[in-house]
Amino acid sequence: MELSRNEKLVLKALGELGSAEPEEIASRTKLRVSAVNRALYWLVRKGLAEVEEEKDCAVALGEEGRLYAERGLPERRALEYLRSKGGEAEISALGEVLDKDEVSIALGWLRRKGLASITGGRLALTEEGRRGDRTEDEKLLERLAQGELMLSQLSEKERSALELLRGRQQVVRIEERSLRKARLTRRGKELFAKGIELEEEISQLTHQIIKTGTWRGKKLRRYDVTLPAPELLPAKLHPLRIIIDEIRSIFLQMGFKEISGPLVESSFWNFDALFVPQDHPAREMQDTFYLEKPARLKLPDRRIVEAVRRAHENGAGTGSTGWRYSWSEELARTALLRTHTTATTIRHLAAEQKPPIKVFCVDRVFRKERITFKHLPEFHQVEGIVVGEVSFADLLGLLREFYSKMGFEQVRFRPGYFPYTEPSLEIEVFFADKEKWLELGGAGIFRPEVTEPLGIRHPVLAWGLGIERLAMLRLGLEDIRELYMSDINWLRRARVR
Amino acid sequence: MPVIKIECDELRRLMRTEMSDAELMEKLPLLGCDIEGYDGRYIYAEYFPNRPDLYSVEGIARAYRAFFGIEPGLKEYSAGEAKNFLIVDESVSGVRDFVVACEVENVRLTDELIAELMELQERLHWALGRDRRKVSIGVHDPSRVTPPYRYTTVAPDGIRFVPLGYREEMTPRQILEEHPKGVEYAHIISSFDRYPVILDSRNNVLSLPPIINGELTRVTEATRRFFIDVTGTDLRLISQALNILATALAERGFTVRKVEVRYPRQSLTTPDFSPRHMKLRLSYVNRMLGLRLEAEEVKSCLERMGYGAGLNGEELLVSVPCYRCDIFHEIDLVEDVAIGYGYGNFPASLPGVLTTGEKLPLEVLCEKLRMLMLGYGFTEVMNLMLTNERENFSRLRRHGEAVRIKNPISEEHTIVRTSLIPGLLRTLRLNRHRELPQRIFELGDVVLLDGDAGAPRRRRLGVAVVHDRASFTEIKALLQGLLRDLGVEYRVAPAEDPAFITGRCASLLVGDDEAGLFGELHPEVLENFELEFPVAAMELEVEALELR
Repeated sequence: MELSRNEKLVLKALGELGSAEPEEIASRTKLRVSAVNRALYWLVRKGLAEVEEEKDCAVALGEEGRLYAERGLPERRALEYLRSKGGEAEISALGEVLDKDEVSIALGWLRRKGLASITGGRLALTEEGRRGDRTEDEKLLERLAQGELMLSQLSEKERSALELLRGRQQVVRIEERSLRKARLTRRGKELFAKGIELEEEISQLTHQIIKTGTWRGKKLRRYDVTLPAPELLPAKLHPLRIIIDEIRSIFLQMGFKEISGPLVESSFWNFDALFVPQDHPAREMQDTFYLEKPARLKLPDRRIVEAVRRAHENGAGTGSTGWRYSWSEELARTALLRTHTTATTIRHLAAEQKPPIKVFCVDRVFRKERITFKHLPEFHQVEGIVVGEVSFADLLGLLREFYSKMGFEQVRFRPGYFPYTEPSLEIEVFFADKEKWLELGGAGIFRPEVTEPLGIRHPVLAWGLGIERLAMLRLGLEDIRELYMSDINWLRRARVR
Repeated sequence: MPVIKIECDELRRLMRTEMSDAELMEKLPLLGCDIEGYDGRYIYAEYFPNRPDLYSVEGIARAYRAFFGIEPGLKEYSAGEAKNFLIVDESVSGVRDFVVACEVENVRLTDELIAELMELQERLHWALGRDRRKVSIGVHDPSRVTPPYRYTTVAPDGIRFVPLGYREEMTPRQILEEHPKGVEYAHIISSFDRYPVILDSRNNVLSLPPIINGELTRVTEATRRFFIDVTGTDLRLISQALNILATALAERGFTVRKVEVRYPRQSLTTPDFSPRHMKLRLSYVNRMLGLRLEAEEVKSCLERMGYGAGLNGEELLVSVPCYRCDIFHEIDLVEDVAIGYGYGNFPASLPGVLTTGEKLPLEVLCEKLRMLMLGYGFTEVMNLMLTNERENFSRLRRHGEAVRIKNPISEEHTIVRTSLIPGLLRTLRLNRHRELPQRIFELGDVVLLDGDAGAPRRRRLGVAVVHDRASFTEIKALLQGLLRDLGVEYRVAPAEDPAFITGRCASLLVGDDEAGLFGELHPEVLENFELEFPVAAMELEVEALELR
């Protein structure tokens, strides 16, 4: 059987000591305790040693105990006082040597130990009291003042003294300890009897050893390669960033161009240009963050503003009836924090209209939500847009392609509703882990009332999804807040896929 | 969005189907709804705001009867000839201009049905009525009132009646001030000198729209007839609301009778159940959907969606049911053709549009910065952009202006951040019991107020390092490294910023532009963030690095 140098050292020490604790072996072999433990572990596995756990109790002084050790027990101080007064004194006179709350303790113990008797407020020492010998509990107190003792090492007398001390508050502390004792098995002893030959082994190969060649003829110690190594944590990208980049890369692979737009946006681009009527519930204060500063923003080109007005008021010649109300330019100027990235896509479409257009945007949006485990007032949205000779069937095909690149093979669609798309749909993907269909995005074709006023003559396919929800599912988070709490340990340990 | 509580047995009865609960739950979303729950008896389904005709079990059953071919095509409703009339007084003009009405006979009610009816009303108030502003509905038991009815206005204290759920008579003013519904909806009419009321021929009050009905016409299980009024600011909307409600009652087997509404200059007889007619081009359907459907197929899709459809060469003549209020344009019919066809039945094609992908230059630069920061051993963090003045300014001993929210959710989130450093320090505070050193960065946006230009966003790189010996030198070494790696020429000049220790703060100059600030944070700032170790930090304008 092959033994490492440390194992041999420990085996030898055990052979000599018989049975020993790791600390004893360590001091004998000059190894560190952790090295002894490791060697013991292997000796046990190799059937050469056995380790027994013994339970014992450590006895030490408590807070009050330390004080008594220093000043003497209250009854001792009372007794010495009485002796100095000829063996008798008024109880009230004890105040000279004792604290107020110690008097009753002293009286109780003097009587219990048969050292004094009380008659009519006077205290008189008994025979034994007059001798004034130190009691067993005082002796134990003194020993404990030198350091903790193991219960198993106490004599019979000391054990009864300990019981007395335990009768007082905070005088002794007793803690259970487990002791590991190692000894050799029969096979270990046989091996020890044959004699242990210690040969020099090299563990860490060093510059010096290589340079001098001293490794030659020596043994390079075998390591247990299955043991865990220390944890190494790298600097890392934020898990949400990794998902955002993955989504960007999917869009880029599919030939989409990346765009971005303002976070502080006018109602015009966030709502009006998307044919959301000015009294639509989605615009209300409970869903949207409106701004005090800046309160108003400039509107674009007159031509665009007028076209949007007509779309709302009468359909702007698109064949639609429009919403049939009087559209307010002032309301359109209202500043807000954009509630969706569609504000940015529609801006882009107003500026660049020549198909084919394929653009995408991954960015922050804001909703007036209280912070809870599943809602934040800001989150990331991704949106893709295709403009050209395209159809609803193309949109469904694109979505299948996009979601399959995201790793979702099973995708299904059902009718949905967004004020600015028609037809509209919701996307559900099958999460194998959860064995559930979950809604993960919406899509549709922009309404003619949205595109035609901006001069866009081709169908515009659009889809989008919130990224945090996907991130939570991927990362197994139950609480969305963790994404923005950035616990460094979590960040360093988070999986990158 | 409204969640409709659908009793499965009732739905099956109204649909005339044997489908199991599970089958219903699987198939209801095919027409557009989210199943929110199921408890063995009821399905809870959320229907969309564009389909208030699906806000009642009757309406839902009607739609699915057509969808599953049990009763496809246009559902025709008839209403009996008007017996009673409602006179509209000129004074309502400008206050709440319009009213329509109907009567319903052969009514049989249970308490549950009354509750459902009230819920339908409230959902219509929400979806069509914008919380009663544009539409409000009153359903009355007319047995104790005497037609003809009058829609007129009264002075705030000009009449007294017992409002629904009360015992004492009140004036409209008192109701607006004291009655819970009055308080809730007072804002709609309180700015007028006179309030709208519906009276009978003996001046009994049926309702004070859009606030509340009178107790006199309360609907109970004993009610056998209804008088229904719908008032509002838009005649088209109130007519749609009446149609949705009246056809739902007709689906129950009740009999609807018209009412003549006599406006000062014209007379209407309502409800009008006749369908609207629209043309639908076959070529448009196929182009938008990417299908090659025959006219016959489109017709059958439309019929599954409850439309009537006739063929006329390459065109379809579509009859839009009187309860549909979401059909603005041909495209709305196209969507219903797609739903009728089944989203699951579409072939998956890919657009034949050839384009090349392209990253934003700013994002390309950020990717490089991220790579470098990781290499330098910094971990990326992300923080919210919403913050408050204390965190963004005061805790850094700074003052300034920021984009401010008018309707914040809490005192914690009132402004948009103007610097990344507070978020980084917040992150360090959160991690103050974690092992040191900690080196973190954030690549994110701040938003700055910029007069006429509004509030543009700026991409920044924020960096912070905390440990026992974090220093100016460490952060400057990082800065030098980054700028060397990016090949940016720069100068460093001493700077003053209250967040940093005087004499240990510098600004980065690229060309003549200030492109960043770095240094050792002031101990008071550290205290403000409950940090007990020195922190060195920097914040760079990414775009300033990009231009070089």
